Amino acid sequence: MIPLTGMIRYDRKDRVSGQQVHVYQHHSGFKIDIIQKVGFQNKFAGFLVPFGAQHTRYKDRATGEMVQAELGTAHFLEHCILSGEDPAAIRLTSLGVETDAYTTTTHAFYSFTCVNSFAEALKLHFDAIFHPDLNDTKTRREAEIINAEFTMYKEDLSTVASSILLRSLFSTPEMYEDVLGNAESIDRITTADLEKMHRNFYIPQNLSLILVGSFDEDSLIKELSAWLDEVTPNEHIQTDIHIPLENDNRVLVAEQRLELPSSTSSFWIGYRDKMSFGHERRNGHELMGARLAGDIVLDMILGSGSADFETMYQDGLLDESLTYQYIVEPDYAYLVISGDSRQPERAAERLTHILESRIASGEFDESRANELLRSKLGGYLRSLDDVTECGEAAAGIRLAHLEFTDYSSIFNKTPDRTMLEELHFVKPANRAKVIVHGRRRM
Amino acid sequence: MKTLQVDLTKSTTELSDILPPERPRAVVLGFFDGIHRGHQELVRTMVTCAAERGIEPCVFSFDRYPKPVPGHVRLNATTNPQKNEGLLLQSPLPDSRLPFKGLLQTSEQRDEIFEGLGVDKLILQTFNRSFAGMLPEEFCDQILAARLNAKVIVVGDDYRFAKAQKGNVSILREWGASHGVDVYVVPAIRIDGEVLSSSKIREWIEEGNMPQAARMMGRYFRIPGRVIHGNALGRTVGMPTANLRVPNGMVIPMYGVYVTRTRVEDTWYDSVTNIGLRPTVNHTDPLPLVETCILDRRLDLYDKDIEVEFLELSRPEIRFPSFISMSTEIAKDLEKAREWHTHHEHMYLYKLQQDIPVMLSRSARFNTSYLVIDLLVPLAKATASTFSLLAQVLTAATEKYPGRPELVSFLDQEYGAEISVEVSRVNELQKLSFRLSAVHNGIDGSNPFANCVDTLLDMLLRPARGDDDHFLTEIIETERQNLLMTLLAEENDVSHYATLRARQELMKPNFEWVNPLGDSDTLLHVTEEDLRDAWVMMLARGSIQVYLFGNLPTTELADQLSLRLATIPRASESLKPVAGILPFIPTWGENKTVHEYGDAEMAHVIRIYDGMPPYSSIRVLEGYVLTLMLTSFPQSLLYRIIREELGYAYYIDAVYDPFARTLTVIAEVEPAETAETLEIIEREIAALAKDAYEDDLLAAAKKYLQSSYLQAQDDAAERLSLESEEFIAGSKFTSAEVPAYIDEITREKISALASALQERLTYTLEPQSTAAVDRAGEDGSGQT
Repeated sequence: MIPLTGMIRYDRKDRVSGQQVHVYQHHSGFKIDIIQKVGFQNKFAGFLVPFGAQHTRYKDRATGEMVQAELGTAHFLEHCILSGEDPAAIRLTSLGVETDAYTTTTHAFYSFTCVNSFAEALKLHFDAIFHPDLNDTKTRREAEIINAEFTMYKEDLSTVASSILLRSLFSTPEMYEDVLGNAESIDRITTADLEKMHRNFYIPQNLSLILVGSFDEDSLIKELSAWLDEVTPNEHIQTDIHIPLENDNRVLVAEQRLELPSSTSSFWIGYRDKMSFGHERRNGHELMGARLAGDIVLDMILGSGSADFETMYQDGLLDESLTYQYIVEPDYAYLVISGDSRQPERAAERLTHILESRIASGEFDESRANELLRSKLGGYLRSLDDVTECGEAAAGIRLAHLEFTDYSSIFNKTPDRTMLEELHFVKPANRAKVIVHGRRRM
Repeated sequence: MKTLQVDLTKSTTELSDILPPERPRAVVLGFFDGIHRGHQELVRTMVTCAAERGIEPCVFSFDRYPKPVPGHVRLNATTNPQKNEGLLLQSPLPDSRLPFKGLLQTSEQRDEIFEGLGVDKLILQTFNRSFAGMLPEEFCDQILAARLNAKVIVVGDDYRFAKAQKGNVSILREWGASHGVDVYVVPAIRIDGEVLSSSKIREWIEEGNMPQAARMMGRYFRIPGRVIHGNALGRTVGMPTANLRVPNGMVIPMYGVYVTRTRVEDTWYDSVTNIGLRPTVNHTDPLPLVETCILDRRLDLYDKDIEVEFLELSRPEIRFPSFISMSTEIAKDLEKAREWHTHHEHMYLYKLQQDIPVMLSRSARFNTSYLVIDLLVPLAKATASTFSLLAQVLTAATEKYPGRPELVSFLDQEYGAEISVEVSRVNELQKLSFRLSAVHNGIDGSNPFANCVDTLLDMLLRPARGDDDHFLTEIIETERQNLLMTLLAEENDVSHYATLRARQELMKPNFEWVNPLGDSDTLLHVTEEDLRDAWVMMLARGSIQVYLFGNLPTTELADQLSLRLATIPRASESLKPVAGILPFIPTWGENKTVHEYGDAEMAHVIRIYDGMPPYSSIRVLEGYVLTLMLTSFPQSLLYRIIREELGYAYYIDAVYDPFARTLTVIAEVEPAETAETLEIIEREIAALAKDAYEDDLLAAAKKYLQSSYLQAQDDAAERLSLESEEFIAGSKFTSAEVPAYIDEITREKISALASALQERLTYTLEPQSTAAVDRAGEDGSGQT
């Protein structure tokens, strides 16, 4: 470890890709991962806030009171941090900086890419994130924009259908509501709410920064260190503000049939891992390994290389719109499968039967699993070709409390039938189904 | 293309035969030495105008350099001097003290470039005393009108003509207005604050600054010639060379060693070249010699016509104290050249296999390598579904991997290699873009990319077929169903649907909108025979381009690929895109308004304007800047007002289609705000035309666009997309050059562009619920 300008630094190398990573930690707890990409003009920076739409309950560190925030507050705050009319946003545009910000259930991420003026853009982001200009005018204006966004999503069939499915799976609003919240909650959010959430979550020890590209690392670290020193003068450091969700372990609606304005019919299937909700908190290798195992098993059974997919494809039950997403977070896990089909009921029935019976049978094709593991490894190597993809991947790894260079070790494990256990919850009792019949829209 | 050597000051029967005076023509005037980016803009403008009017695209130029020069200088250059031996073209104008550095190209090179730009006739006027003595009116009446029957004339803004250069663009414009001739004056192209000029390029070449010269010319400087016998000294130092002389009259680069590429027949090989007097070993030959060593190849080149392309100066020519020290330096030159070739990412034509360009770009920066094969075929309602289905059938399997599970298993094994096809539309062309991307080196020492190249080629050349050579029925039927669902799903996106409807309305009544993916009715009736015919036609007559990008230390993979391409049974006549001609640039009818209602939550408001720069012009960059000034970032006019200030919309966008020459503004707003949104769009475009906006808006838009192009340098997939689009659009620039051109965009240019916009369509799609309200106030008709 090399102390440098108030920062601890250590260097590591990813054995698989050969990529070097420099990790810095400020005394406040703020972490910086630097991935130098020699020969690249483009530079990426991303601030990771490990709190998202589901984090609505917290203990206010100023007053000690328990706070129940409105749904959508985290997303609202993200909108206000660097809103369109802020001088910082305008300055960033004039520098040719492309900014992006989003909020998920688990985190918020503020990133930008640029070719020039990297340090200035970083400072503008840093100030916006740690010292945002929150005021009533802005709050009212952003509420209008978010409401317009909300209305826009109502036209999107997949947003509507997946929302109905999530309501079937979960009873906790933080789980089934959109990250935007809802029309009522958006209207109720005040500037004071935003300020409160900001002072609790947006503190250096909670945040991480990912920097990717080719730039003068030493001078940037010196500047960052100085900026961080100003944010945390002798402030009490709160290290753990994990807020577990309430227990919520029942499937609400097993099956629904709907008619929606759509030119196609579709099926939406969800399985919830009841046991993991609020009981097993997974992180690090375990979390990443769980995601990989789930993906490999799903690809093996439902992927376009599987015999079952091929049969259903040839029978006209499925097409290339079939998607499946295994969502595993420290507190919960669930699986969503969806696709267009001319016969959505039959397709859903065949799919659930195939998936549930294959997992229950314990059959595992190791050779195919090895191919899929190589495929995932290839995907990881390819993600390193792009500074943004690389930065986002690094943020995801950091969010799982893992070091970037440790991540690739998940590919060392030889796939075996224990991977099936990851999807142990794929059973009828944990399943919800939404069948959408299309109604001509125009 | 025909090159005509004529003297239009004389009237002869022969002249009427080769230039029938009754045939209307579009004519670009100038000398065009080097045919640099500025010249190319002039020629493309002329070609585009000619295509619009259906008249003959011609270049009117001279048989020799027309400016005053020192006496006894050769004023033309030819690749094969023996052909024109004794033909020393001199100027009829008085001697000048200014030195003449020589021409940038030979006649043969010039003709080839003009042909590629879509010129039908190159008319070379004999630059004699009688022509040089013509007055401006005489030139216009006797040459442009009487001999050439010019209906369109294109010139640069500094164009001068006739005796003592008395003619200028004002005179030409006046004459054109009174004679019913359209005169287009194309503003000079500037780069780094400097107007592009042949004389500046000559200076760069004389200084050995080949990259800078290439930025202006749009290609690297090339010296053609026939290989002659030398003293074979190169062999003794491990550098066998092919030697040639610089064509007489051609500019000579600074003496030195250059990284080069050398064309032998249809292939451009990596090479390193010395040009100069060879002072260490030569004491008798007073003429510079071009000695080129093709790297890592042994080719017998004696008496062959080759062309050497000068990429970068490695070092100036020096006299070495000894043969040994020269040998040591040559070894370093070779190593440096190898390094340059394997790391310089500039995309270049490696080989023209049959008429298929194999473009190559090598880089060690990325883990992923790419192979893209673009095919262009005519787009027609009757065949669009067939080609669209064919694309799916071809990528579903191969002879070796006859089913999807086998194919997917193979690709997964190769570290998740991906093969995909995208079907799109470029005006009247249907583009099928087949793409392979794969990790170049596996961690187990394997070469996934190389292993997959043959698979993509197999899909195109040896697709999965039955014993009867027919495509497999089960694959056809499965892919047909899949495509039908994709077509249905397209309608689910209301925004996409509204844009599609707007485009259909815009095209009425002159054109028919054809979905490149096809349509459900036709798709249901596509037969196996249709697919086979389409496959044969696509390979034989379609336009094919191949792009290879990645970590390729040698050209071995490109050679293997070329060998496979050589097996394609190409027809003698195949489709060839030529910027401004194919794809054709449509013109739109009168302005109209269409209101529709549907199952939507928001009102979808679309306004389409015509008059943006055509894809064939370098001014497309002005079009992109103007588009960004309207939406895309916080200061953008419409984004700021409609989204940020009024909160009417979350989504607002402007899309510039250079192939259609249109600007489309799209907003999704609350239904009650439809009318006001339409007004704001009109008002803010008018503000751009009146030059009434904040200074930093233009600066921000330029910076934004520059950043996008620079960032694309680090995104291999994006670069390939840009290369592919620019291939069709005439290769006006590379993404690395773009920022310098954007720097030259001024408020005046944006104002002129906005003033030229003509509204062609207002389309609104509103929620059904608003229909009743509207009907109460109107007559209820959906379309106006």
